[in-house]
Amino acid sequence: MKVIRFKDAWEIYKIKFTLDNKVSWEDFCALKGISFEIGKGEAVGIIGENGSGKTTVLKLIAGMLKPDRGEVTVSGRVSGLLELGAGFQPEFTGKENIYLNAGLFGLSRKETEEKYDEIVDFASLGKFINAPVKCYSQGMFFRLAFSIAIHVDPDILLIDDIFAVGDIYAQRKCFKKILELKEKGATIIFALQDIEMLKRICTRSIFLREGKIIKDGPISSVSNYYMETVGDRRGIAIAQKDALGIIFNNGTLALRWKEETVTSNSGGHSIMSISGREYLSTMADWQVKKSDTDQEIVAIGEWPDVGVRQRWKIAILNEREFLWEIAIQVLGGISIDKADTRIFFTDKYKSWLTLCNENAFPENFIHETEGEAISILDPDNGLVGIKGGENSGIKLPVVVFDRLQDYARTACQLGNTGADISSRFIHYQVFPATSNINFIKEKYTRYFLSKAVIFEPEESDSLADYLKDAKRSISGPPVINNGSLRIFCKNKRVEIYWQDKLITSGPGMNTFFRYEDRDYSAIEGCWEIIKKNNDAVVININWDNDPRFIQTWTLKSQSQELISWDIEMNIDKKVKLRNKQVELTLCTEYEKWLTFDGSGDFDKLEKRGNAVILGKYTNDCIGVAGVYKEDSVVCPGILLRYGDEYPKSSYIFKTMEDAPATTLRFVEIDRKEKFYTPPGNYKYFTGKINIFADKERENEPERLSLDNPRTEKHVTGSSGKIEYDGVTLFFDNGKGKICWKGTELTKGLGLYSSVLFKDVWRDSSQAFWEIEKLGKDKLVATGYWPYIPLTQLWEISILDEAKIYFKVTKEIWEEAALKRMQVNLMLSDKYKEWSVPELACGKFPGKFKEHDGLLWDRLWSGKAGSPIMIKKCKFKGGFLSRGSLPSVILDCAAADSQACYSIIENTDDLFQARVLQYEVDLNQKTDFRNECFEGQIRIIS
Amino acid sequence: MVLGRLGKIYFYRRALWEMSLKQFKARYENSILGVAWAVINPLLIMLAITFVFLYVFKAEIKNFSFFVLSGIFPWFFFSGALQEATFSILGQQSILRQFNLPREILPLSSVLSNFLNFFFGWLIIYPLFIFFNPKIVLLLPLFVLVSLLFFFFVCGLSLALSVLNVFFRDIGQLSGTLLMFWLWVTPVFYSIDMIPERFRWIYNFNPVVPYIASYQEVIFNGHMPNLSMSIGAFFWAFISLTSGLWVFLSLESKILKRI
Repeated sequence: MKVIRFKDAWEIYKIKFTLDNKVSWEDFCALKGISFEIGKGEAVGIIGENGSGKTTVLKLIAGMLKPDRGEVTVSGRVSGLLELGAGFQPEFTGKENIYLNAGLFGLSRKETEEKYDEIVDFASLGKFINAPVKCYSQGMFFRLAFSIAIHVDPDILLIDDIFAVGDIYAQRKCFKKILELKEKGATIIFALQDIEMLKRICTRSIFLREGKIIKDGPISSVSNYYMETVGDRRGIAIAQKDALGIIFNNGTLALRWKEETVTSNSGGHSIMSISGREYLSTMADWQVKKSDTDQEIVAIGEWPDVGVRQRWKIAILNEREFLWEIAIQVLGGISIDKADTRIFFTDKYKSWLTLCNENAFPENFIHETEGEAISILDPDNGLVGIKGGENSGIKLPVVVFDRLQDYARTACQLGNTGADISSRFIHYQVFPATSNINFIKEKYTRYFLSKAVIFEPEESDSLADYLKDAKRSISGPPVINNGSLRIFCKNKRVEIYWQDKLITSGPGMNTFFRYEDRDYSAIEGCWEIIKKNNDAVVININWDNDPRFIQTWTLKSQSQELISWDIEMNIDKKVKLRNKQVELTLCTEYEKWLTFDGSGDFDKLEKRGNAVILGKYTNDCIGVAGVYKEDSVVCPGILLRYGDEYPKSSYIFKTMEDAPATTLRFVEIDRKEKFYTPPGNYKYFTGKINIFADKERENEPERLSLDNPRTEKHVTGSSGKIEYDGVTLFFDNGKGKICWKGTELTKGLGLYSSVLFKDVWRDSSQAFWEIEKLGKDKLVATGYWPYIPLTQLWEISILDEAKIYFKVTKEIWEEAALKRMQVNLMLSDKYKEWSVPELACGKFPGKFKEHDGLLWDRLWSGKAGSPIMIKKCKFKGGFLSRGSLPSVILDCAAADSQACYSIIENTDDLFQARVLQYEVDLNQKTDFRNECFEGQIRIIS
Repeated sequence: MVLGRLGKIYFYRRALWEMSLKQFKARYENSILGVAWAVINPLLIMLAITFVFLYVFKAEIKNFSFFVLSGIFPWFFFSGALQEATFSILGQQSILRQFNLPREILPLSSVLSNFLNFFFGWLIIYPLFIFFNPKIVLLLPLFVLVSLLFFFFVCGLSLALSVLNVFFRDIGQLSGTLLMFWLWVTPVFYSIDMIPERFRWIYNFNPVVPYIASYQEVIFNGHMPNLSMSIGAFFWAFISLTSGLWVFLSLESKILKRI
């Protein structure tokens, strides 16, 4: 039976506006065509912001207003509390007022007398019942009014938002009474702000906004909707498609499925850590930018006190999927330590799932305010979901958050919040500093992108299918499958398997380059994998950036022992790209490095930080020797070679901590003429990876190379020989080997130069060398340093009387902090004595200092002296050999002799050689081109 | 509709009674003389008027004080009820905000509480008149009838004024002066015979005249009221009640938004 019926009810007030003495009357529609029915015995909560028309509805039901249009019918006696103190006669005592009020409700005196005791008892006013009500406190007023209102046996009880006046005890008592009335079959209509209180009594709720019914339905659904949409209207937007609804409300995201909210508390929100303080998205000022389609919400939030903005994009893809993207714009010079995204779900959810695992949430919220994270095994996969449970009889849907591939460096967590929030959480953490997310000023940089997919609980099959697909896209079938070789593309990693053994680690294959002040790496880009056939794959990598960078990797496997790796790059404008690298990260089992020129153990390499590095070669072919166990291969040998025209320096290193790996790296040497990269397509890298599982061949990289011949240019282009009168000089990539009548006097690097740049010494053997002139006894070569915009021109000629003349000219083609430069002569350890004529002399120590990567054993150093070239700054390395080694004198002058030192050193046990040096302090001189050293090496037999 | 309304008023008769009683009580709450004021005020006016008319203007009316009393006493009810009813809605908004009463109960209760006051006054004064002119006892039924008609007349007027005052607050401002003016154009301090013949027709348009004159006849002179006065009393009571209710009902829904 319907006791209340609203049929298109309109309520219009005429309101007098006075502005600058001008009076205008305007209509204000408190209710705009409201229709609803309430049955007998229903408990309905009317919710809405202030001014939404709640009280008007109550007044219409109470008959205190009549609708201007439409119809309102109410049957039964209505009682209630619409206004505190209304109907009370202040001069009268409580008792008199009871009689008066009861009379006004329509009770006879007799009936009133019957109820009187109950009313007084409930109101518990004590002797105040006989005092004038004007002396009452608000609470007493409230209790008396409430007591009368509910004791007159109303058919319909109306309560407006005056509940807050009573204390907790009174409220509780009133509640009990209201529930009793409800039991008796009274219809109860509430208009409270306190949703929690409403939820305890009402089953149904009507949500009013601006005089219209927004939602009418079960209280939990409507009240959630209300909570989610209450707030500053500029920061609220709603997207809806079929059962899927998303409410963005000033930095929170509420997810609704079939009119039920599955998120809880502040729903989805973001947190940034900036210099030790946390900034929540709920604290920002939000403005919805675009909401013209119901399918997409774009909102910008600003934290004015820190100068950071966030842009949220929420787009419904279809009736069960939506995308959520958060980008950050930094306005001031601040750095964001941590940027998180968190989603709270109702605790009705009982279990969680990841790609590989599924389990229940802990039953209890053990901490008061602190959360309890569950450790999940595969946080890197980025896929987490929640499932299970019921909410007001409706089975909760499964919600899966699937992080999109292009932000792989986020870790995710899930668990229980503290008891204060009592929710399940999903938490994505991004550490911008280590994730290579650079927040560029005045530009939005995305840090979070996720796709949420929703499944009905009974759709466990499609969920399973989805997970299977997700697994496939992460682990997937091999993109290349050729004999023992299989290559997978997983979540922005290239994984190479040899006979089911993973031989790569970390990202596997990666590229880096530097543009302006930012480093770009392939694993930060957006990957698109296009499989061609069983032995070829194309990977498009796209950086969300201006200018646009796109790399196209083509991996092809000609045979199971050979992978070709070609990278083409497309740029939309002329840019200055620096430090272009390609890298192959292998597993840590490898023990021996391998180059075209030789091989060795990683154990014996120079240790820098936590890595051992072999970084002294300009070699187009670097690799590692295979690992064998009783003749069967554990890890096959790998050689990485490049075949393009751009010279590169090569590095082999092994890291043991953090991300343990064996890395093969080529760094393109920045040459002056290659300074700018033109727009359009160009070849970034052309390379090959050789895999050999044959122990026999491990020590023969040359033979390997013969199988796949090296390009001539790189072999001959950087080495040459000059000789004259018994003196021979072999020049090979920045190293000069000197022989006297067939006996080598030098050792290790021989004649070489080195430069101190950013506190790291880099020597000429790391540079890329080109021989420009090669005569019989004369040689001119140019060396290009990797990482440093430095070019050195060496002019060497062999003169009469066993003299070698050399001149080193440096050229810096971009401002660079070069500190010192040296020219060195590394000589055989057969020499035992040194001397500086007229100054000092001594013997070399028999033992070499243990290699620790630090300074060598310095035996003597002194100012090089006056600027006269040949005479001054001359010392004699008097090496009296036991056999037939002649003495060698290094005689050198620097352009700036004031800053020039001569040094005699013993190397460490890595080179085991003697060194004569001239060092010049460059004092960060800005000379772009100058002659640094000019000198002679004299051999006196 | 009017009948329905009357039914509703009947349904809420308890409320009407409570309200009237409340106002009646509120009037004399904390006053020492209490309900005696219902008599004292008219008596004081009577004394003043008697003095002025007898000794200043030398009017020649027999038992002038009693004559004035028989007119001024109903007038006090009339003006008191009207003035209170005019402000009844404005003054008791809070009741309308709490209870779903027929709104007319407010002005009606004002009238009723004044009528009670009137009634208690008669309890004291009526014996005086009997003492003065015993045969008026025979006219008691007529006296009751006149009182009832007067009551209905005041009710109708009060309904209209109470609701009009919500819209035109000027009415409230004007009411005091208007009632003073009305008092002088009503034969209370003088008998209708004293008015020159050529002005006497004007008095036909003064609706209070039939009631005051009837009271004077029934209480002071001990005569039956003449026919025209009797018809006038019925006529004005009917007109007032119907038009008052009509005004009230037609403006009622708007009042609710004004308060």
